[in-house]
Amino acid sequence: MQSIAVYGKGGGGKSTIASNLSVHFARRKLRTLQIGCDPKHDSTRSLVAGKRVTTVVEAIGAKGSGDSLPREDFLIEGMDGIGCIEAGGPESGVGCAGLGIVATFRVIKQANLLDDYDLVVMDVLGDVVCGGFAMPLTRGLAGNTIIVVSDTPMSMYAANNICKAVRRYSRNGVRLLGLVANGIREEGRGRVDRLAEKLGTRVLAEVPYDPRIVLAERRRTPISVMEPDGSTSEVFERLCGDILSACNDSIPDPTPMSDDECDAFFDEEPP
Amino acid sequence: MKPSSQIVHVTDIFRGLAKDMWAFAAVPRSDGAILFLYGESSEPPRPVLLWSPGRIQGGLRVVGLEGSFAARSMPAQQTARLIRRLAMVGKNRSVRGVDVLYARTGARSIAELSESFVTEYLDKFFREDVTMLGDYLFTGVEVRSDHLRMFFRSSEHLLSYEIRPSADDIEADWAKVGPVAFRCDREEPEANEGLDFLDRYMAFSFSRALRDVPEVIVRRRQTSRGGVKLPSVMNNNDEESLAERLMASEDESPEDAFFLLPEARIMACHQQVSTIMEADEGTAALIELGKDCSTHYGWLNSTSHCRHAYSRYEHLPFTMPERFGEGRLELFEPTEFETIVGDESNLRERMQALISRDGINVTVCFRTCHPRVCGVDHEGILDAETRHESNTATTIAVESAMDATTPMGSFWQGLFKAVRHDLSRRQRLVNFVGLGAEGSPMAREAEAILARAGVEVNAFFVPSFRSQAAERFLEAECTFISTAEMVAREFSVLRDDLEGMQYIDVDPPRGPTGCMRFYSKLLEECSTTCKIDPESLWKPYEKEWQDLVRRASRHEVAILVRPEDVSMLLEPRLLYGIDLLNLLQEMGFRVLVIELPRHRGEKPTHEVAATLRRYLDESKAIADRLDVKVVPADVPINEVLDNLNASLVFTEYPPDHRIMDAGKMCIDPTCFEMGLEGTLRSLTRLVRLAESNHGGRLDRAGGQRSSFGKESVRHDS
Repeated sequence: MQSIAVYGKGGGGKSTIASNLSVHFARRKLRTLQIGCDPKHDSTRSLVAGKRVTTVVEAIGAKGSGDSLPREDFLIEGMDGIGCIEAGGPESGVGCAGLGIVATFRVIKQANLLDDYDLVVMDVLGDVVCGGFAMPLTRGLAGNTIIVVSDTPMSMYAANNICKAVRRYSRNGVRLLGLVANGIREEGRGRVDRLAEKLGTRVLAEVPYDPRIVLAERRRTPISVMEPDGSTSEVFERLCGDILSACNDSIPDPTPMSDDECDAFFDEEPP
Repeated sequence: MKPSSQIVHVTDIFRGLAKDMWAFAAVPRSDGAILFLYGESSEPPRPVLLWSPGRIQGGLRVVGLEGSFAARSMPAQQTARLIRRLAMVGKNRSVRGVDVLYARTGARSIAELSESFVTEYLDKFFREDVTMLGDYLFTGVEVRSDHLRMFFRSSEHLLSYEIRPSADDIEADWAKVGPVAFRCDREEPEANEGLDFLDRYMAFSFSRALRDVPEVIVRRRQTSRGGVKLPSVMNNNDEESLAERLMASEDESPEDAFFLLPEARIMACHQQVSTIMEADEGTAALIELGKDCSTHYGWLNSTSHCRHAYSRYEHLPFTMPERFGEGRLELFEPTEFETIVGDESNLRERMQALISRDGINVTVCFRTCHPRVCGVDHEGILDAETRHESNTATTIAVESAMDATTPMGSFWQGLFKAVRHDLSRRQRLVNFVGLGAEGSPMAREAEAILARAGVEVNAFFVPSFRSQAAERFLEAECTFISTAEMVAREFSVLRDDLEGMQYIDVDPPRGPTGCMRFYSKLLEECSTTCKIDPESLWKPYEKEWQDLVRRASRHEVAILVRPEDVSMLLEPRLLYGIDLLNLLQEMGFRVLVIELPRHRGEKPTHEVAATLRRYLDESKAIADRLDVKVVPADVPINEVLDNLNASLVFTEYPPDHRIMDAGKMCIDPTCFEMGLEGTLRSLTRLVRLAESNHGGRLDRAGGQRSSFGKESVRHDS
């Protein structure tokens, strides 16, 4: 079983990329599971035609305990047989979302779910804000990581932070496969490449800005399903192949920048 | 019958044990427990039952005694004191001949009923022609076809106990203990008198020696990375968890440390929190233990938990959970779901129930890091729930962070929200903070001396204070605060909060010089017109003190110091305000400071020696009787201790069995009492310990000394 965790700044297109990747993995006859690790539980929405998925936290609440929770209570089968799980979590301002992620992985482990899939795609909330969201890394569940990044400073800053977490948990077998540039503006071209160089990694793919992705989102379907032969779908297909081959590569640990180095990097970049 | 000089009377052993344990009687019980009776003759005896090791899970565990001890019918602190006492007594057991405290580790569930039955299993309790119970001397064992007989003989009667394998179908008049059953053969009715004790002792010894030892007391040892042996401190079948905890213990307990880590010293103060909650009349507490925080605060919930996680706290006197009577303390543990989604409803219900309970006038909400994590606003709920309550005077929320300590300062701060702030200040009224508890010898002494100068002590603030002290705290004109780091730091929060009060820092009074300096400062700061010469205060103790100093001068005290601990010697405030080097020398002892390497196996750095030499150059006063030695690399700590000439060794891990096993007596910070009388009592105790020659007896069997000491440096004054 291979696992790929998709990290990146909030609103950067992680769920879109994760869902499209899942579709392409499934088309390659890989039994794929996508886990949405975000309290807002909308990672897999496009894979289940917008249906409401009972989150793991809701299932725990309904049963009173997360112990021995049957998989039927929180697993739903999406298109192409993709398994879909949403961790869920508290409403804004209360509770502990990180603990929700921790509980989700415990429940998944207890249900022996991971053994039934060839590939697990984890779509993790924005930045690694606390230990709970680093859970896939700390326990070595996410063997492979990709970071979705745009050319904006905040997105790149978040990418650098995530690299720190990956490096910290490299002892658990966590690796950074590379960056996925998403929605790069014309003036930002080359910036992600320079960032990748600084971080000691590479750019796996560049997903162009495509208004049809937004349209597909509105239709609650992945662009690779809406337009299977479109140019964006081709990008995802190539990315899918690159990721699978990279999973067998020997990859050095990333080299995240210090805050000062990060500031200097942004200072050097044209606005 | 053999000459009486060889005979050991079991009753004498228990009488001696009672004396050692400050009880007026000690009685073995058939279930392996020992019953101690306390109290004055004029009052009904107060029984204290110390169960057989391992019988009660969650009991107090003492390093060096194989097992957990549980006690009933006494406050936790006293229990801990007795348990420690028991450990000390246990170490001296070789003097007695028969070991009443012995508990067989790894006891077998199968006992072979052979001729060697007694020597193999009961050797600590019965010795042929030596052990005497009442009029009966144990004379030996005889193997019969299907059973064994133990014989006891008095001048007139012969008595035997029949011992068989325990079986389900055995008759009711047989006593069954573990794998065996026994019954007294009483063919001579006139011999029955006084046999109850014998029956009980048989059952007691069988129970101690033959019972299976529950896992909780099996002393598992595991070699750590540094090669040091670590005792297992937990009863947990989860091996992964066990390993993790052992690793955690290892990380936190430096292998050759004789001084506690600074945070542990603070923790030693904090462990009183539960006592406070319990001691305060009409106080109820709602303690929230988030699942992820239970490690940090498990000691409030379970006595064993914290010791499991932090081996260095093993010796601390933890409050036992059963001490919390029903209705006094509520424990609330939120579910995982409640934590994740921040559900407050259950918590609110529990608070409502608590607040509406009769007889509770203060509600303390003691919370862990959990609410910070999940955003539950306890204080807001408390405020909302008590806004219209007339019978609940105060609600306090005490918060603690994730750093595993419970700052007393926060508790005090919370408590002071409860007291009246509109009290007018009274002249010549002072508070003491960290200078002894109300009613303590130190407090009584200070009250009496200050009273002569027309000054009254208003409140004594120590970790185990009562809320009444807080009630009147603000009436005082000024507050004297101990400079001991743990006190000053903890009180600093309140000091900032309570404006208008005059605060004066004073070194805790220890030793004649320290005491006189203390009282001089007190009287001076109180601006009293009454002239009391501080030296006259000491005069009544002077003669006895000088006698003791003369006796102390024949002894040496060793202090083993790692480079990181040297500040404890040079900055008394870090060590409860005890100026160890000066104080010991003022008491007349020679002091030997042993410098240990920073890590085992490393070459000595001579840091301690250099620092002390520098310090001594500046402070000639203490240089007379002080030596510093540096331990060469690779000398194990037990060898260092074995080769010391010192009678006393300082440690913050009492009873420190590294020291006791080397035949020395350990002294710890509690040996140094505050005040004039306390100073005299301290020296009396230390001299008695030094003169006990406990080390000398064991030393004789100790073998040759090594060449350790060659690299010593000496400061010549």
